[in-house]
Amino acid sequence: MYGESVSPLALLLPAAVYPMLAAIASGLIIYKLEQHKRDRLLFWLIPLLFFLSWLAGATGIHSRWQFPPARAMDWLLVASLLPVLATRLPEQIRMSGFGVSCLLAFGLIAQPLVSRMGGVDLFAQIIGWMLICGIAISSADRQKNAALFPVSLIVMIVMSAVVTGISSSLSIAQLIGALAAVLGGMWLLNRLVAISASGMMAASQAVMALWIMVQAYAHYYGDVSIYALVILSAPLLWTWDKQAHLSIKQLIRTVAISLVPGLLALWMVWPEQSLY
Amino acid sequence: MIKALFTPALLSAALISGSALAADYDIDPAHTTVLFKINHLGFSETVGRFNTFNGSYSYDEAKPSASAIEVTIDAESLDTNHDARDKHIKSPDFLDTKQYPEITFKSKGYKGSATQGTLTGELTLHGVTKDVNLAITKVGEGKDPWGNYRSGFNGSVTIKREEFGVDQMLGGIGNDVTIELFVEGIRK
Repeated sequence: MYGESVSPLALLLPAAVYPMLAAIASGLIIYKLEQHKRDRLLFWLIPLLFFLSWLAGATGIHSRWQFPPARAMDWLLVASLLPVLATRLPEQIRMSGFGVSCLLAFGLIAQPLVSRMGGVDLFAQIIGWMLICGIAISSADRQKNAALFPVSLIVMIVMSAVVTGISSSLSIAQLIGALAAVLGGMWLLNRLVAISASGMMAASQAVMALWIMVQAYAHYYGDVSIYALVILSAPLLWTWDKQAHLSIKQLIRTVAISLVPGLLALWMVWPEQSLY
Repeated sequence: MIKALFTPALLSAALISGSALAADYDIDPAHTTVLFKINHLGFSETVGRFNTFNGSYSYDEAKPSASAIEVTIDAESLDTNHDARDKHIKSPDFLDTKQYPEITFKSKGYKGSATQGTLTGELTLHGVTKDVNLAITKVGEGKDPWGNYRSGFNGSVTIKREEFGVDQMLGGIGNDVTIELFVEGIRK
């Protein structure tokens, strides 16, 4: 952006390479455990492994990460585990449980902001986020195609990284990019070894939960337009045909459908002045 | 005996009268500017400013060591004459103004004459507090045409942003940030 001498590799390693490698390693663990029918263990392990895969990149991006958390981004890297695990709640309470866990997690991340918010504003934000989280998890629950849904999600995540990078913060864009790398790594591995559809969907939902948290962070701390973020996330509402097999034609169709709202969002946030 | 009793009393009286003479001023935002400049790629200096701040100071020409200042700057009011860049600098990549909305300076001591010296104090930026030394020069003081008593000073300090946890893009954007204050105050 500034033509600075920071090497592109240094930016790429934590945002793409480390999380992707960690996701591939996680995928192999899942594959092996699935072969040994360790379903109960896998139920909670899948979201945890993908959270850790993202953390492998995120701690490189937020190199001042500290525990116990002191700053908002420290909290983001810890509290995001809550909604990730909430994606595994029983179906009848998943929607509300996921919404509440997102709010709890973001309450921790947004402590400095919450303390400055008025009562009405806070109430409106809570209702808004409960709605967004509820719609997101119920849409993800409706998905049955374990090959196309992750592709759509990866495209949306990449577009949100671009939108965030262009309109606000490179480090948040990297955090979002790391999510695309995690899901991309798992998706690529799934081309080589057969991971179950339920495993792939669980991984996708875990990544989606993280994505919601990082987007909320981008909106509140990076001032990224909420309208742009909601528009680029609209393809979540699209239910991919369960019977559709992965083919070049299907892949192009999926990418195109998922890309168009992202391009609209990018147009919305594109700065009037030239980039600097 | 009498001398022993009176010396502390006289000293106290002198101190009290000294502090009573120190005048307190409110910073006049209309005639005060907080600038910063930072190197861009080694080619030039990029200059920015903060448009919203408040503060007060005490100044006594007869006893400059009693001078003190407190300034609070609204970090969100950053202005580098480029909206997209302002948004980026305010983002978590740099100042993270949503989390750290204020930049403050509180002086701890002054060394120097009534017209020139070094003001030591605590600068809190990006949630990190460090001691810094501001080089201060007095510009002038006196009554304005409306009868208010004013005084004005220039101050300058160079900090390393990395020490305040603002360490993104150190390759292209300088580590040294020069902060310049052009302060005018109205006596209370």
